[in-house]
Amino acid sequence: MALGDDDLPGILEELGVEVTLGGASTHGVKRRFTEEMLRDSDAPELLSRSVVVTIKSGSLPALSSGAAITVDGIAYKVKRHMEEEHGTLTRINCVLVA
Amino acid sequence: MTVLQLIANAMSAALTTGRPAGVPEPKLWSGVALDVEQLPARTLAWTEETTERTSPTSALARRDVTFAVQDVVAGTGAGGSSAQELCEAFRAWSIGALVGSRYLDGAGVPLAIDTVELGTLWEFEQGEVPVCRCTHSFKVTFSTRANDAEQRV
Repeated sequence: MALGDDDLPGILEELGVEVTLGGASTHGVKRRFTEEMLRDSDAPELLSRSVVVTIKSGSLPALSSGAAITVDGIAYKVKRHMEEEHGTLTRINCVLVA
Repeated sequence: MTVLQLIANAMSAALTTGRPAGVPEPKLWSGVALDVEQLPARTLAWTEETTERTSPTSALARRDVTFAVQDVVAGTGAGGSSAQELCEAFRAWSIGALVGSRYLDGAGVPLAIDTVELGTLWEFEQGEVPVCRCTHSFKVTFSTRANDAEQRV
């Protein structure tokens, strides 16, 4: 049996971490990975970390760039957010800024 | 050792001695990529040289070499300063440490004729933390024998 959009909340709850923004909470899958930055010609000059959390679209109604967001207990701001997978999921890039 | 290398070493010393707290020690460029955990970091490299003989038969070569002082700084702003503001403080100190310097050798003889500031390039990235790279360029003028880059004149 194929998985549908209705299965997403359960899957994210099971696999994900708590994500809170503007008084609303949901669950999302958090990825922290190494990324090449400040590239000069063919060589990366800096290796840095990026944090992306994927949630069910619409589960955080106040989602906007610059908004304060807490992912798995860590306070970030939303760098940008993009819908993907035909709008079912939203990917949020997070940044640590005061 | 070439006069250029001697000047690079002297510039590195000038950027090390008496630097304020937080300003990173300069490293001569190595080709190794930095990790964000190593920031702030400062590298020094020479990037371009133009050479001119004072006359077709002259034994003197006048050399203008561009040196890049490159700072890479990560900052969340939690301490009150953004990554760019931290970079700017480092840059301001470099100006005082280098501009007008002639870099004396061990005998107290100047290696260079002058050091002037050329300009600065600012670049930004934002992963988990914001990062700023500031490439600060200086021109150092000196002379050598036309046929010997190790012979100062």
